Amino acid sequence: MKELLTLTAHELMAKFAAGEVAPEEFYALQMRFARHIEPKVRSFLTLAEDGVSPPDVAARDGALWGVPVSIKDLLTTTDFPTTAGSRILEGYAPPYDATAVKLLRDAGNYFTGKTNLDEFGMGSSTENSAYFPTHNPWDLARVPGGSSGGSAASVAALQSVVSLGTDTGGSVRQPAGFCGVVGFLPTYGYVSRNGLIAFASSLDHVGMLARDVTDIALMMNTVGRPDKLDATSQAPADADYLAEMNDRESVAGCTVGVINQMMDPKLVSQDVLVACEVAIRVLENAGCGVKRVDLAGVERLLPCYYILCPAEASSNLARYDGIRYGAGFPADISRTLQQHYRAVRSPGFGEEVRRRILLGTYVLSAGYAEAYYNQARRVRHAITEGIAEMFEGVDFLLLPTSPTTAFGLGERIDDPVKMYAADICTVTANLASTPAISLPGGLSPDGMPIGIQFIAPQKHDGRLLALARLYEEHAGTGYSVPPLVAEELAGFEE
Amino acid sequence: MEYEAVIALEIHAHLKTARKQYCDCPVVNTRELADANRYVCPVCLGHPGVLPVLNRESVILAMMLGIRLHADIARHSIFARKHYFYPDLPKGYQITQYQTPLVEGGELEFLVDGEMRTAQLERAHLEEDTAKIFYQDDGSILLDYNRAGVPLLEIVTKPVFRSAAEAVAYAEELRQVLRKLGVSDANMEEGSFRCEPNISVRPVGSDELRTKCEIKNLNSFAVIRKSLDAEIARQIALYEDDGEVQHCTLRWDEEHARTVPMRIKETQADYRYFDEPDLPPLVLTDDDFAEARRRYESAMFTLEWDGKEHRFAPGTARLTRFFLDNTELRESEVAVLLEDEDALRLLFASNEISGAFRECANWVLMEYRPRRAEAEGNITPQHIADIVALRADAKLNSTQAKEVFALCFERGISASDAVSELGFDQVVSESDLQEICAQVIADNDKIIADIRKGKEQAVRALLGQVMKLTRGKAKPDEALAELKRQLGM
Ligand SMILES: [Zn+2]
Repeated sequence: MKELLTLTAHELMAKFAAGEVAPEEFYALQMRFARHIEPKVRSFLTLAEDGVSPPDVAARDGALWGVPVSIKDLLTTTDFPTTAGSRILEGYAPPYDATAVKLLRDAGNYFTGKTNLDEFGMGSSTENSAYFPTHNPWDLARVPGGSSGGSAASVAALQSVVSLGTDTGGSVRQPAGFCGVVGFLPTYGYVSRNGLIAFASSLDHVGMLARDVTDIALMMNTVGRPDKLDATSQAPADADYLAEMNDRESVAGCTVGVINQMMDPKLVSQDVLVACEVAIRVLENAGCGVKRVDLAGVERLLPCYYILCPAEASSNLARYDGIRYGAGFPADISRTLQQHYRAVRSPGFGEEVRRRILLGTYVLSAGYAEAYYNQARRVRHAITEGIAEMFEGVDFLLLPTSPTTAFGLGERIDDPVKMYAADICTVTANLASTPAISLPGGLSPDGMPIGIQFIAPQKHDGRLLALARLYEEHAGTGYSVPPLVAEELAGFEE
Repeated sequence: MEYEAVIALEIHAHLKTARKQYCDCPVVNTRELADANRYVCPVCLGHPGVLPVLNRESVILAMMLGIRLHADIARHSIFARKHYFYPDLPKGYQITQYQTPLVEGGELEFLVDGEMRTAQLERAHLEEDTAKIFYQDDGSILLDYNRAGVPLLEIVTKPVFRSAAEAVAYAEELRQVLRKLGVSDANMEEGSFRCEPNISVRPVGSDELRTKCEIKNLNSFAVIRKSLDAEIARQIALYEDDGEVQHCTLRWDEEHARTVPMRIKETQADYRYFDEPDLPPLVLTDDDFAEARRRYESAMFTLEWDGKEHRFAPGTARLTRFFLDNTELRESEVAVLLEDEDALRLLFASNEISGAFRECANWVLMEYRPRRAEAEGNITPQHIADIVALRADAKLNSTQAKEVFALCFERGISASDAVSELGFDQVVSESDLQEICAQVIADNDKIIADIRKGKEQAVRALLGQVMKLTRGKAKPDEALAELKRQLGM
C-alpha cells in the first residue's frame, strides 16, 4: 500500500472514491511515513500525533476531501501550537484558525502538522528557524529554500500530499523550485490573510505547494474564497479553478514573454539558464508564441523589496511584547516596563528578525522615511505599472524561480546580502501583486531540481493554471520522488 | 506687559456604535475590575495573524459630525499606523488617520456669556481607543482591554481660543452637539469625552505662536477651566521673569491647584506613520452621504413658533440665543430645558395651542419635570394648554389646578374630565352662597368685631372659611363681594 504515498491528491481521491483505500487508513499510513523520514528531513515543527485533529470526514464534498495537508507554522491553528518559527511564540496556542486552515478543515482535510520555516517568514533557506534547519530531500546537505522550506520538503519527501504555505517575496515558489514540487502564489487577496501571521502585510500571500498543477487547482477551489475577515480580500466568490485550468482555449496560441534581464548569465547560473531555454522550447512545441521582453529597473527590485518588507515587519512585530501571550507572559512585575520589553524581545527574536526590525524602524523614522520608505513605495508603483505594461504585449512572463539550485546549508547564512539575492526572480510578483507559479523544470547535472516560473496579470489565476498545466503536460519534468526518499520508502515497513 | 492665551483643543469622543472599530466585539463601558477583559477577541487583543475590518457605522457617525460642522468630508481617505510601545496598545501601533482625515476644516458656533462666537476646526479623524489601565499599589498595572478598539473620533480645533472660558464653552457646546446628533454619549466621567488642551501665551497684539504645553487627564469642565487659568498664569509668570516655556505634557494637581509636568518633550515623538496595508482606502459612496445626511436631518431640532416651523442644527448655542431673544425664559431655565428635550417639546407644543408661553413654561418646569422624574406620566400639550386656560378664566384656583394636573398626569384623562371627576365644576348657587356667608358671619363674632374696629383686612379670614365650606367651588371674588354686602362694607 505504501506506493500510494507517491500519488497526487487527485489520484488519491480516485482511490478513495473507488474504495481502494479509506482516507483514515491513508492518513495513518501518511503519518507513519512522515515520522519515519522526519529525522532526516526535519520538515515539521509539530507533527500530528495519532488521534489528533480528526477532521469531519463526513463532509465529502470538499475538493480535496480526506487528503492530508501540512500547514506552514506561520498560519494559526487551534489544534496545534503556532510558533512562526520564533522563540517569542514558543508554545503559543492560537484562539482561532486561519481562514485557509478553517476552509480545509471544513472541507474534510487531515492535517499532518505544522511545517518549519524561517522565523516569521524572514529568509530564503529555513535556516532562520529558531528551532532547527530543514534539509532538502534531494540532498540533505542543502537547504530546502525558504521560508516555506518545511512545506516544500514535506511534499517532496512524501510526508504530506499538499501543503499550505505563505509567500512574501518567493517563500512558496523558491522552496518549491529547490525541492522539485509545484508552488503557487495566488493574486494578492485571492486567499484570505486572516490567520497568516503578518510579516509584510502588503506583500504577504497565502500560497500552496503540491506535486502537480491539478492539485494546486483543487487547493485553490478549497481556500481561494472571499473572506469578510480580510478587508483586502478580493477573491471571486464562485471561481472553479479546476475548470479554468482545463480550459485549453484560454491559452491556445498565447504569447509568453521571457524577461531578458532575468536570463542574464551574470545573475543566473548556467544550469538554470539551460533549463529555461528548454522550457521555452517546450512552450513553443505546445503552440505558444515566445517573445523576449525587457523589464526596466531590475536593479531596483531587491532594494525596493528590502525596504518595504522590513518597514512593514518592524510594525507587524511590535505586538510581541509578552503582555497578552507568547514568551514573557505573564509579565514579571518586578521589572520596569523597559526591562520587560528588553527581557522579552531581545532573546525572543533571532538575528535576522532583529536585523529587519532595526532596518524597518530606520527607514520609517522621521527624516529618513522620505528617502527610503516613501521612495520605495514609488518604485513599487513604477514596477507594478511596468509589469502591467509588459502584459499589454504578452499573456504571461517566464523566468527562473531562482538564480541557482538549492545551495548548501550554512553556505549563505552569514552573508545576508547574498541570501537576499536568492529572491531576485520572485519578488517581482509580490511587488506587483500578481499570481505566479513555480514548476519543476528538470534536474541540474548534479541532480538538483530547477524551478521554472510563470507570472500572469493580476486576477488571471485560473488562466495561469491553464498555462502551467499545458507546460506540465508537454515538459515531462513533473515531480519525481527524490532518490533519498525513494530509498527510505523502499526500506519503510508498513 | 499684557498677555493673551492661545488655546487649541484636542477632543477624543467615543463613537456610539454597537461594535468596536475594527472587530465584532460589543462596545461595553465597564468600570469594575471584575468585568475586565470580558469584551475582547483576538483582533482587539492584537493576536498574531488577525486583521482589522472597518466598522462602517463609525464612518457614518463621523460624517454626521462633519455635516454639522460644515466641514469637508473626504470621499477618499486612508488609514495609517501610529507606532509606539505601551502596554495599553495591543498591536504596538494604533490604526488612525494621518495625512487624510475623514473630516477636514469646519466650524462650530458657541455662546460665551450670551455672546455668539465661532471656533474653526482643524480636522476630525477616526481611530481606536487603547486599553484601560488600573494602577495598583505595588506599582504594577492591570490592563482591561474591553476599551481597546472602541471607535474614537479625534476632533481638533485650530488655536482659536483666547481664554479658558472660551475653550470650555466650546467644549461644552461640542459635547452637546455630539449628544444631540447621537454620535457619542460624550460622558466625561466615563471617559467617552476626553479633552486635551494645548496652550501658549503671547503679548496682546502679537500673532506669533509660542512654545505650547499640553494638559492631559482632565475629567470635568471645571477642572479644564481651573487648569487652563493656572497654566496661563504660570506661563505669563515665566515670561515676566525672562524665562522660557518648555514644551511639555502637564497634569492638573487639584490639591495645590497647579499644573505639573508629566514629562518634558525634548523632541517630537517619532510615530513612524505609514499607510495601514490591512485596510483599503476608505471610499465614500453617494449612498453613504445620503445616509449620513438623512440621519443628520432627523437629528435636527424642529420647533413650532408663531405658527412657523423653525429648524435648528443639533446643538445648543443657536437654540439658547433663540429662546433668550424670543421668549421670557431665563438663561438658567433654557439650560434646564436644553438638557430635557421632552420638556422642551412639551412646552413649545403647549404654547402653540395656548399662546401663553410663560404660563406653559411654569407648568412644564414646576409641575411636569418633578413628576416626570418619578414616573413616565400621560401629559400632552393639550393638557397644559387646557389647564392654563382654566386658570386664566378663573375656573380653577391654583390648588385645584395642581390637583387637575396630577390627575391628568396619572391617568391621561382630559383636563375637563379631571375637573368634573374632582367636582371642581359644580357651581355654588347665589342663594347657597348667601346662606353660607350669613352662617360664617354669625359664627365669627370676634372677627366681625375686629372688622368693625376698622381692621378691614380681617374679612379675608372670613373668605377663607367660605371657600372651605364650599370646598373651593365658590368664586373667591363673588364670595368676597357677598360678605362685604352682608357686612355693609
Ligand atoms: Zn474584539
